[in-house]
Amino acid sequence: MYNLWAFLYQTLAASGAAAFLLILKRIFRDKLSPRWQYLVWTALLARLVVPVGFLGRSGVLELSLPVDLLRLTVELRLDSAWSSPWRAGRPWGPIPWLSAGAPRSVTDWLFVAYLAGVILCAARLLLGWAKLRRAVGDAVPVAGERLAFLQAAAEKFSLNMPQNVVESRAARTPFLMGVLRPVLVLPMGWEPDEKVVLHELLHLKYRDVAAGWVTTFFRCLHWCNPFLWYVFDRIGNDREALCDQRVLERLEGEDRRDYGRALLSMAEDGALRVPGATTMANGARNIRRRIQSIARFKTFPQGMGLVSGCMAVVLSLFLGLGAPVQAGGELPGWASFLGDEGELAWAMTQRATTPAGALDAFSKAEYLRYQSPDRAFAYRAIVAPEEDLPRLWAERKDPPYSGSRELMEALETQYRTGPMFRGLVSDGDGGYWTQMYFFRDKELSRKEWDARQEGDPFPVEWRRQTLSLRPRADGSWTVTELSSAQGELTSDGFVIRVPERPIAYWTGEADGMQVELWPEANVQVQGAFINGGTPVMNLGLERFGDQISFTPDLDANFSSVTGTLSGRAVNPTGEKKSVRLYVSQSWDPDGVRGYTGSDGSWIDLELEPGQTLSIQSSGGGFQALNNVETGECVITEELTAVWIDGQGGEHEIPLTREVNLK
Amino acid sequence: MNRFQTLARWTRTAAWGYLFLYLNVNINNWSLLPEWVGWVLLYFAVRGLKEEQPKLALLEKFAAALGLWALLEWIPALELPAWTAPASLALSLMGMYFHFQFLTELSQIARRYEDSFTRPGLAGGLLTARTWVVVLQTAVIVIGFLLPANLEMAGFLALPMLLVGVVFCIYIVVLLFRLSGQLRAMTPEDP
Repeated sequence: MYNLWAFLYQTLAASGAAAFLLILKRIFRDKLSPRWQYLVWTALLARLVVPVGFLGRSGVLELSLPVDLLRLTVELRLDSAWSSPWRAGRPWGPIPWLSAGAPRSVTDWLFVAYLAGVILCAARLLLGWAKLRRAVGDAVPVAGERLAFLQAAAEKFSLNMPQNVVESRAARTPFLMGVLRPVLVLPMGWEPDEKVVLHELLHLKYRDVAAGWVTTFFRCLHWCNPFLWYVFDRIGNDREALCDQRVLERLEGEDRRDYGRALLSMAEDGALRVPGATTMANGARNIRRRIQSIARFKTFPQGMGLVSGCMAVVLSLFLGLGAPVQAGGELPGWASFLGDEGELAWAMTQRATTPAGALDAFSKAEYLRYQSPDRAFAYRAIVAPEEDLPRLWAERKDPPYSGSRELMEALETQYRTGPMFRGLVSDGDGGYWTQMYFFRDKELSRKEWDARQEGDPFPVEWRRQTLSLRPRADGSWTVTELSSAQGELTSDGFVIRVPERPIAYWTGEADGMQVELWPEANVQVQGAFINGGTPVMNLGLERFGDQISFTPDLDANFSSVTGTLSGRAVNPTGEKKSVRLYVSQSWDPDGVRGYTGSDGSWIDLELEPGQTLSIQSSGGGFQALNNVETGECVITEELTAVWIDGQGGEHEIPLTREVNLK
Repeated sequence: MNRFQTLARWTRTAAWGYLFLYLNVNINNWSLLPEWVGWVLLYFAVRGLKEEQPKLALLEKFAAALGLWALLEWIPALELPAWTAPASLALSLMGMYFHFQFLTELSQIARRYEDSFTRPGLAGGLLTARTWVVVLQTAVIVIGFLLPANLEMAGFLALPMLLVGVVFCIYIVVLLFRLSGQLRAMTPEDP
């Protein structure tokens, strides 16, 4: 926890989990044993230890959204050293620390105050413990008959004795202290009661002093959260109630009633809330509750431990680790109602868990740029890396169009058919590059309605954005635009071939000709880039979104992949060239699996001097709605080619791999 | 109707309840054996059997709540929003407890009259079924928890889990029908 917000995320998440557990304990109050009632707090411990947002997961009742909204609203007006409006600021661990740099803003100073509170709280509690240690410092060891009585009690119940048993004037009731060298402290001159001793020996057996230190530790970290302090008290009471249950399980008939009477006699002693010590006396009200429990005492059916354990496991997983973030979702109305801050706060709670999901959100944001600027902003923000958010925010506040007329014009001429992704290219560092294409009628941009003569080709324009997909630390994906370009499509057909280089291509020389080879793949997400319906020109494409949801599918897989081999050849020599190429693509079994037509392609080239020729090899595809894995859309990184001369001689073409991000 | 016939009737109702609960037959995403019907049957079984096993009264409210939730999930037009996740988690745990306690109580009924049964081992069988139901439910919840993070693993586990689930469903239903049959065959003179 390195700033105020990280602490707020963590403490509110723990409070939400604790509130949930309290409700659950109430529901199961008369159904599950005190063991379960205590064991269930391990789920809270998991929540306190595991930082919020760990592995991109979201806990039950995490309350991140209100904190994000508050953080944005506050931090946009401040210049904090340790907080940023653009960083969700989820905690990295359960323990706070001071970041580098001097505090600058009110939230920085509040965090300093919080840290000071942690230190003061720890000092106060340690002081209480030190006082207790000093008070029992003058204690005298118990010996003789009384020690023998205690040893007999331990032996009777097969329990270990603590290393030291002392009696002190400071003790009003017996208590146990010390983790490594436990000491049983008895009131001076106290006549040992077997049942009370049994209670303390059971605390020793189950290491309850250490458990008390754990809650003390979290008390200090969450010193300013009174609800959690109440919960820590409840945990202490449940620990005592469980110890009572364990005692009663070892006693019979009248002894059980005697135990209740012994407990009742301590009602006036007040609660001993000193860290590092356990005692039967935990305040009149709690003792009353425990006596009621003793009256209700029952043994639970065999196997209750199993169901209790299973329930505790499920709770610890969901409350501690949290469930995967619900992928996708329409921008909720309340987020729009709360304005730009609400939209951004909502976006920051969403995560694209797959590359396809990130591309889906990015492309839908592009499509909705003019139709629904609020949704476009939110969807773009979901996948924007932190450094892009200030620019997006500035654009949102000052959009490139100044009035509704300009907006309408932009909407009319927008590239709206697509998106088509031209395969994924590994960036060598765990991420991918891709080119995203949208298309539009050329007539639309020129506003030359019906200018085309019958029989003329349908002119189509494309807009390409080169994108970088990078994984965040939590496993979610971001998308950054690296460059963009526009042009006119010169060919048509089912597989659109854009007459520009893909991101990765190979160059070489065959019989004096310069050859460029472009292994590529046409990749789609969801049902975008749909065939049939109302076509844009003769591409057989529909307007994006006519049949699909505008809601980003943040954990989507790809829906189809079609591999092809394109390229170009130039004959710079002064003579006519005629060769046959054989291009082998070493397809990774996890990559685009032979979609370019098995492992290799035969390409016949016949070029006049100075001629440039486009290479287009047939392709193959694979379609499975939302079921094409990322690895299957990654372009090969190994390509080999040979050219065959007129006599059938094979000559290897030395190829160089180039990367084009422009 | 004597006491044993009443017990047999409600045990049979419980068997039908489990059949509706665990077997899913869908036509166009519309369940022919809706889970909520199973909970309604189990609710009535609990009410009918609580005179014999008073502890079953603890489960009445659970069965009602679980039935209501299953009904809400069954209504196609009603898509439960994400904020209902805590309730869903609480209900999963209530379901786990319900099966544990319900089958425990039924096994106690079986044990009580075991000497008059022609078919032994029903009480033990119900206890085994109880244990496995809890373990399987936990496994299903945990796999559901891991599912979106690891589709491949979840897909790998889905079929064996489904098979084990179907086998156990049949096992429980058969045990309950057998118990019902044994109880029906008893006469008021039996102990």
